[in-house]
Amino acid sequence: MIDRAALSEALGLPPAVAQELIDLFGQFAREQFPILLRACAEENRDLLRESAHALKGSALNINLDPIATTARALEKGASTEPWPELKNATQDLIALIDAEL
Amino acid sequence: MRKVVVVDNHPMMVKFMESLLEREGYAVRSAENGLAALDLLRADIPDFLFVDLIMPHIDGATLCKIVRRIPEYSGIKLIVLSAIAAEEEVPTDLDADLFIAKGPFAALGPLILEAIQKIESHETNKVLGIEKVYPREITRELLKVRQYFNLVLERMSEAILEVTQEGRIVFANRAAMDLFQKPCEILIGENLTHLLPQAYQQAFCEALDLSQSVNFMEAGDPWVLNETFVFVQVFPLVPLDTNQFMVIIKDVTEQIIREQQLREAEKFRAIGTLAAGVAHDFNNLLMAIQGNISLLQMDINPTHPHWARFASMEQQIHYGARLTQQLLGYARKGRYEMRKTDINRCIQDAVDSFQTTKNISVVKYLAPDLPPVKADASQINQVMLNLLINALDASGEQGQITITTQVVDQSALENPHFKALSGQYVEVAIADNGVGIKPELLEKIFDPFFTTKEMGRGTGLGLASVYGIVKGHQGYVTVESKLGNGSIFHLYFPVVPLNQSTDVEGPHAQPHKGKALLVDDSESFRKIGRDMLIALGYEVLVAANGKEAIQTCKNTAHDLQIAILDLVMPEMNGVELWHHLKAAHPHLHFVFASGYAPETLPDTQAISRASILSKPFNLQTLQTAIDHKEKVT
Repeated sequence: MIDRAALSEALGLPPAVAQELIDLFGQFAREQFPILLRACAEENRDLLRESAHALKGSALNINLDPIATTARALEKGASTEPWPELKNATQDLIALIDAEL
Repeated sequence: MRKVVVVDNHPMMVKFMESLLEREGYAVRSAENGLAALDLLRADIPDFLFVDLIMPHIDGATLCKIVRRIPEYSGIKLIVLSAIAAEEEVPTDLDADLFIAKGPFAALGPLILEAIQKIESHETNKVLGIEKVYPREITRELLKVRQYFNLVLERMSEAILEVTQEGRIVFANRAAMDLFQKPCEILIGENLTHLLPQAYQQAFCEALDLSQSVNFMEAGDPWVLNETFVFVQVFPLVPLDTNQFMVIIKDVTEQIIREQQLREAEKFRAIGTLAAGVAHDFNNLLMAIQGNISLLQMDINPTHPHWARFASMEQQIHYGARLTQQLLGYARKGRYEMRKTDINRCIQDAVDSFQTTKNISVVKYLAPDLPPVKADASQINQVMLNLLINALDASGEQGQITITTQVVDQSALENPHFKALSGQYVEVAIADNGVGIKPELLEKIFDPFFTTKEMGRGTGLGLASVYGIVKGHQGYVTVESKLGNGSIFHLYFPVVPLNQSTDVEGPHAQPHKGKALLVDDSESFRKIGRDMLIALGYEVLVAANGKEAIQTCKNTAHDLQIAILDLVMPEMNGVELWHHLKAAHPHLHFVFASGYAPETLPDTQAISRASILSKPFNLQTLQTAIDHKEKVT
């Protein structure tokens, strides 16, 4: 689970702002879910890579390291890994974000 | 309170920046793209502008360029937020005051505040936070791809614009800036709809509203933008989900001009052929009538009661012949008596012979030392007279006709709808302050038989022959007119190069009488020509074509002294026949007769050195031609 107090302290901003940033991340991440799923369905490596990249950057911005690490692995593997593995990794990422938020 | 504008398409970044800077006491406004940022800047100029590089609706690099080119924004401190910009060498083309490498917000916050402090203390052109950068391969790739496509688009000859659904321009390549004659910083953000002529605005807005691909090229005539003919294509950038449109505007001016000139040339060629044919046959008819009158007049004297009627008939024949001359002038079928000609002199001669009962003054501004042009002076005189008569008819009881001459370069002739051959031209401008020409009639005024004059006053051939004669001189005619304010006809004749000689020798007189051969495919002409030659004292042999003529000459060549040959005949024309007869009978003397005007005949050695009879002709003209014929050697 996300440590909101730690984030607030790290950013030097009130907890309400930290919460707002987390909510914005959640909103952005959920916009990416259908894109990730479409990339898997169409086996579109570029689309999968771009979406994972966007999630990684957004997660890093607010210190969501587990999400960033998973997204980075998906981004790196998107160009070369076989599709069954990529589809599994995508499901893992979506599940992780759901759990964290 | 110091003012800040943040431009970034990521809501998290915007929220973070707003919270951070407001907490520090700054007044913060934000925009999610470059276009919205421009609107914010127009409303209120900030002290600091933070810009992301990759954004829809005007990217960060373009926004930076625009800001730097607008003088009112010169006080804005520009900070680029991009890890990529920071990783490279400091990108000077962005002309930013500082670069910050994007990273985790916890590290970014202090960098943003530090950046403002550094700028306040004039420490600019630095990159902050490079050590915090995490790999951004995709961002780098996106920037590279964007750079690549920008490079391609910049070099396209078509104007390419990207617009929002409201029509606001978010991208314009170099050709687009040239087309609309506006620099990038002015063009970006403007509404393309407002830059289009009103006639096209509705169609363009409908294309955007319906989000459909529209190729206006297929829908009808080209559009005219800034005096340029263009084809316009609009299509939504559907796969990108940006709700934006690509507009491609192709300059087709050259193509349209070529097509127009080709159509015009084809039209004039077709009408010219028809006119020449009609004139030729009509001249033969007139010839038959004129010949009979001449013969009848031989039997009577001027006191005879029919003498005046014959004279009246002759006058009508002359009038008919003038009409056919005009037709043939329009048809411009070939040869003129081309010499180095002083156009000023032609104008002076035309003005001297121009008479009017109206109170119209003719004012001349003739350039001194005008270079000569290669022209047939009599034809130029005819052109001037026709235009003077038209100007007179267009004027009221009082007025002024102004004639100006000058030397101009080819570029002076050109406009978006017209191209001329290169070189210098003598321009003659004939201006009147008469009634002017209705715009819808301007395209028709050079057509033969088109006239706005009342019945009996105009033949519709005056301007047609002006056009034909000027074109026959490799020249150009243009007209400008405003209803109620008169018209100006501009004539352009190519200047003769200094080393070019165009003088030709005139015929020598050599009286002659004896047996004559008359060759013509027209039975009526053979009949009347024979009678006329007999009346002049010649013994006449006739032939209907070249073969018959050659055979006749074989039988009677020893006492044959003159041959009158029709120029235009089927199978073997007059010139070909001349070659045959000349080779076999070197002492035979030749006169050519034709229903075409002499100046429109082909330029051959035979014709240029022989006497030429233009049908119709009377007995006296025939006698003169025979008396003045030249022995062709």
